[in-house]
Amino acid sequence: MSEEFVQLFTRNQRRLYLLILSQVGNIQDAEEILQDTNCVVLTKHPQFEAGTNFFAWTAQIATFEILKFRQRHGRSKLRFTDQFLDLVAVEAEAAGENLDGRREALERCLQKLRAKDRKLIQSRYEPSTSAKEMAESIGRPANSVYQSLGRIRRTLLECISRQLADSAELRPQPTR
Amino acid sequence: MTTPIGKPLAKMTDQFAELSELLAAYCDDRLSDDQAMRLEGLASQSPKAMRFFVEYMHLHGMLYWDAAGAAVPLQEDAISLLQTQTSLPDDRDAVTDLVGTSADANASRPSTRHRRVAWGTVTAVIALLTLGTWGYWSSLNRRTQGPDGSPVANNTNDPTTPVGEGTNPAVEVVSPVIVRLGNGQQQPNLGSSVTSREGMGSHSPNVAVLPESTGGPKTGTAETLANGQAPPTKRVDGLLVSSQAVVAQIDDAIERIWEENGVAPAAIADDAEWIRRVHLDLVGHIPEPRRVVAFLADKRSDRRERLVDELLDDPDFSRHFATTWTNLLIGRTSSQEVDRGALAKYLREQFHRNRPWTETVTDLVAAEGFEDEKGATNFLLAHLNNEAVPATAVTCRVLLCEQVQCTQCHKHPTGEWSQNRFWELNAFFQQTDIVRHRRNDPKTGAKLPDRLELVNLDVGGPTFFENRQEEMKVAYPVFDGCEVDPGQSTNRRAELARILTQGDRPQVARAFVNRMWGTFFGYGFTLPIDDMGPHNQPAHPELLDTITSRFVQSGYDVKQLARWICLSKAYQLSSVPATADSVDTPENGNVPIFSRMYVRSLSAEQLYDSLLVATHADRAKTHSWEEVERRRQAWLEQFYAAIENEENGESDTFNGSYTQALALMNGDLIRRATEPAPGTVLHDILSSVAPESEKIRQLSLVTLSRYPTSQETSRIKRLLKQSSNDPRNGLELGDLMWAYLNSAEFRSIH
Repeated sequence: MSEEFVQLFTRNQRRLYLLILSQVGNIQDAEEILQDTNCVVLTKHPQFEAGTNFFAWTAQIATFEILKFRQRHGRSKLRFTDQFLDLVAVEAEAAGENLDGRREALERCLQKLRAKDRKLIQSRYEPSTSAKEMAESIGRPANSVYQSLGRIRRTLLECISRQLADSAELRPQPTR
Repeated sequence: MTTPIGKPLAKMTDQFAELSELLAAYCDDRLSDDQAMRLEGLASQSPKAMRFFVEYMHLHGMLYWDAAGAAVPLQEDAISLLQTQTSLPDDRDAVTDLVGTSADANASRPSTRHRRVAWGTVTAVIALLTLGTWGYWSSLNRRTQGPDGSPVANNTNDPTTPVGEGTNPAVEVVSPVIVRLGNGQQQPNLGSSVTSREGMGSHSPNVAVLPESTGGPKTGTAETLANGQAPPTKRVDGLLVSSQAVVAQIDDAIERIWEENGVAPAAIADDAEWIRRVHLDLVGHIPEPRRVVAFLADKRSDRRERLVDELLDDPDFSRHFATTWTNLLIGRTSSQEVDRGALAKYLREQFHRNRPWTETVTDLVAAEGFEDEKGATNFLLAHLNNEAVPATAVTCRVLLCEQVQCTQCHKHPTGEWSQNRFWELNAFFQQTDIVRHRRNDPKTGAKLPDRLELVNLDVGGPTFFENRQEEMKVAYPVFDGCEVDPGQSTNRRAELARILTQGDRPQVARAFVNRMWGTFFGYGFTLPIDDMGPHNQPAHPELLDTITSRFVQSGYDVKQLARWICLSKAYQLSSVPATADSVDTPENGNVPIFSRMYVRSLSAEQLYDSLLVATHADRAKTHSWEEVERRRQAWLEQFYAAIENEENGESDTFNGSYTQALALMNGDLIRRATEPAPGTVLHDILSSVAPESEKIRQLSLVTLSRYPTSQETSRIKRLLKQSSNDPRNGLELGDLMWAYLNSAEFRSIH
């Protein structure tokens, strides 16, 4: 396995994860599919031609793994139609191009949250925590926790958009 | 810029208020089916809405991945590990000095959990890395590789330890500190449980509802097989000869398959790898250490034959097969009403006494009586709901490996099977009914549910069904071209059992052979294993036919079939392919060629029972048998959930998923197993007077069924010495056991 391959592999993990998550929604499911995808990517690595689009190649493998996952889990995970997921995949691939900018913006926005909110969203995204379990552990009614989480996410989304718009104004050429 | 933000601005939320509410529900796993439809509709309305959808999901992912510390983030060093590791294929077991290093800088004393998270991650990283170069499998052969081998995981708590030692460039890998919000520097987590897990053996629970599947009409001849005669259970000389002849025939067929595909078979598995495999496959758990020691010392040429015979007579053989078939027949989540224990007991008897498979099939299809007295009745008792549609579909899927459920409403998409066929089979179950007996509560006098009885009613006539044109149609009991008298004097289920088990190569035999082969190799002749319909031709039909006819000739001798497979050449092979670029990769969707052993995940039951063999965690306190069984059931239940649909399906998360990994890493069972309470294996080992290296050897033996290599031992020793904990409290050896139990090597059959 060449160094270049390893670099590409590690550098594309986050983007690949987000592409998968956009299509399956559940954090753990996405992680599982990412693992499956990685296994295939690593076993098939001799087939990758240096210089071609690495992300597109892995995205293709991921798409197949998502399909397999959906088949394996049958009806319980079939929430959206295939056509819809195709659209999501196209959009997610495109949106993946400015990920670093978004990630940095998210970091800044997290710092701006009220301490209480930051703590809440932090514990929601701790490994292996579901929103429901979290509500139970902090002793708040699940519904109110859901509402808070929704509000915090919206806040963060807006903050990110604003941050990106601001930085685009500062620079002569927008990144997208 | 420092003002806290808390209230979203109106602009965006107004526009996408409903969309973002639905997305929030989606991200927190509380979206209903109706809401999912609505969400799809809203997001598809405009490119803007679609972008919002994706940005929301990306935020969801980034919060997990970057901001809140996705499990254990790997530091830069992990990348160099990846490079070092993968660029040195000949030394690929030299993975790692495990980690924990920078933890000391941040926290003076890392908690057990943190250290363990680090161990676990490295195990996972190793598995992932080596999967790419087939190294994972070669790591199983470490025993024979001499000083090249190195530990499953190794630890250095001293950041000043020189990195790279001799030919083994050891790399510090992971910071076990979970990085919190605000730290976005982490490298991606490479996942916490990587195992090969196609899970299509008969251990895997069947998720019903595979839309495009069905089975095939057969041209069955109407010869009646003389079944019902019990094949001998003890090996006699004549049988031994014929057994060898059949194995030779199977080997010939397999060798032809290798030749035709231009694939060289893998080397023969070493005895340690093989004894573990054959135990898991035949008796459902890893071998007791003393059995391993005895087997490794056995130099007789027929030691494998002897072991197979021994295991086939072991009570755990019938227990394991009864568990597997109970799960197949009624699922793991069947209703409380059904007497699961009685069915399991019935099956245990059948397997133990080695009754012909046709007899078991007949009982399952035709049994009448009380659920607790006639265990076989529970199969239909579990599936008679909804006009016996599940009974029809499950009978086909489990006993015939045919998927007919979609033909309930329309003809099969590929055209071979009509809708009639489904309802004609269904008609066989239409005389059957459940009587719910009640008893009086002695205190209140109220009627309480007591037990179920499966009865045949004296009714005749056709079944009615509606076709796609909404016309009412009738169906009479017909199966496989055999009609039976639809009058009320016919016992339709008994007739069905007769038709199913007649002929010289009936589907019921082919299906059983397919499942059994799949049990031992992880892959059968069709993918999925329970879809042998006309649209899904089996791979290697000659081999399947050969074994099937032999199985029928043997009088449906289940143990004999298991013996043939276990003694076949293919089953002796290592899981390391002969060449790194082997095309024998069914995990990538290719046709299995059986030129090596495929690595499979343990089933939930195999894992649980193996954990108990390795740790004796159940003996930490004295419990009644019921309590032990209740705990086992409770442990298993966390992985399975019934799907509420009309086909009695269920879903599982026991497939190498996150849930499973977490249950293992943090669960109560593992915690008990790795705390040296009196009665546990760990306690026995720790309290022995043996030197430390012997204790390490024992820990490896009880968990992995092999001894550690000398290099593993020395690295582990170094690690233990560096530990800041007092070695006398035994925590560190407990951690070592924990790492072994969570390794991919422990969690798979290879």
